[in-house]
Amino acid sequence: MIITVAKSDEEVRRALEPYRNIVVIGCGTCATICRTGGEDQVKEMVEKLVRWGKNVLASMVVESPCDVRIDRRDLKRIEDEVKEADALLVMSCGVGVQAVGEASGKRALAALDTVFLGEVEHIGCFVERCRECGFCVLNETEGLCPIVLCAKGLMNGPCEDMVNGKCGVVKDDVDCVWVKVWERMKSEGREEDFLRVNPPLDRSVKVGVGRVVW
Amino acid sequence: MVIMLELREFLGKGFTLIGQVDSARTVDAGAIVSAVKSMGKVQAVIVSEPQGVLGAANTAVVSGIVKRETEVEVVCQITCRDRNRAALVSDVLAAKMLGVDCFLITGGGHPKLSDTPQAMAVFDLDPAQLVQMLKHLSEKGETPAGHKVSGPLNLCVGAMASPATSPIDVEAKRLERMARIGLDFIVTYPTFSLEALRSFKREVKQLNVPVVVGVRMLPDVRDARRLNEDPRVTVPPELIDALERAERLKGEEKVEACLEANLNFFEGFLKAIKEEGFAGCSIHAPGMEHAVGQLASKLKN
Ligand code: SF4
Ligand code: SF4
Repeated sequence: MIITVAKSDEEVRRALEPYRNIVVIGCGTCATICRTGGEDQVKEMVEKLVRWGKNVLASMVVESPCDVRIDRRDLKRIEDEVKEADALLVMSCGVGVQAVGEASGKRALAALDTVFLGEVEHIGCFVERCRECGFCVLNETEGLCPIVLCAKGLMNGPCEDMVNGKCGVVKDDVDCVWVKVWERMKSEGREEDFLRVNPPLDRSVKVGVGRVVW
Repeated sequence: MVIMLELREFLGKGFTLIGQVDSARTVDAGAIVSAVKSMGKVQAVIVSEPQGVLGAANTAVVSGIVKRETEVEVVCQITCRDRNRAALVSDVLAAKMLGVDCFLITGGGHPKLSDTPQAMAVFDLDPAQLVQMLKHLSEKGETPAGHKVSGPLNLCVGAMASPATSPIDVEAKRLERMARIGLDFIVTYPTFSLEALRSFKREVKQLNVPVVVGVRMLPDVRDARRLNEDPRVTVPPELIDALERAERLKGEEKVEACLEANLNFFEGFLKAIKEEGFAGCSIHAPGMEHAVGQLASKLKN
């Protein structure tokens, strides 16, 4: 799940400053779960925009705005309004904002901040779990992501900042992930696995625009 | 003529006395060199990164200067915190050019806990990966990516360890992981607890890597209290009391009393470490480096 939070009214208002005719687009997937871009939030946003003196031509929740094909398909239903709009205010992650811009050929503005890839513990509690390093090591680290959970992103921990099994860097009574990795391995009698050296990350894979094409 | 011995050669042959001096955020190499000279007869000196300070003069360069000016065997501490893998190779090669071939690897505390908390934490490599890279350079004379540097560099590589951390078994495993790659020695972060050192020794005994005990002398009672804030360090109350009494004196008298307090405690502590069969000790006395030699001479008597 891509976790988003709402930008402040002030920031959204500033971004919309030069525009009068607006179309509001929500997201039926992640941002609906995050309660940042679902039906209710889109409705609230439309009311806000009207209060701010904007002319809202249309609003709609696109099933998954990060998919350009779906954007093209769904935006057809409000084709005239989109054509007439000065800008589209998109209530989704940054991927959705860009895809909607691409599909519509219009200025697409972000209403949300994209904060991380996370797990939904319950609605209102989302926890970061992956930073898309490109070389998932979960199989080597007992299913615990060292990039996110270790404050230094170490592939072979723990480090000298560990205090009584806790991470001394973040200090919020958070377990040191490498102590947890060790304890899981030990409890299953796989101590030997802890001695393996995970290789350094290949940082070149994160340079430029990531593409998967087949 | 001073005969240069590699640390590797004399570790394991009796008890090795090492001094430790911090680099500093300074352009005054003279002060660091004088501090080392004031240590008197130590077999080697570790040039370390000052704790909690980012942007101190590069330890590779400082090590080179100390080696040239003092002719003492130098151990250069390098951290993974501030440099990517290329910069680490660069530092090691520069140090080697300056005659330094012994390196002490540490991860380095997170910048967030330093005096420059806004800085990026690099950690492109972690200590295990850095040991691996140095071993590769050392044995093959090339980077792990296969870039040729020269013939084998013949480096001596050690790592820092936390003897009083808990859980201790994970620390022992972390060291074993590095020992399998090839560690020439281990230096412990300072502890005042003989008990902790004994159990640490039991944990790492089977690694067959010489362990040098890090000893930290205390210039004054404030320094002692600051160290005590680390939950892994307990400065013995009798030492704090003695430093507190010294604090009530003034000028030279106070300095003398602080020195006395340190010598009284550490003489016994060091003798005990020696008896426990550790390979040596590394004495760090920031701002009172002359005390290193005085303590060392007590050990010889
Ligand atoms: S190791 Fe962590 S950051 Fe990398 S892909 Fe796996 S979960 Fe994501
Ligand atoms: S204490 Fe553990 S989690 Fe925290 S930075 Fe060190 S290795 Fe990573």
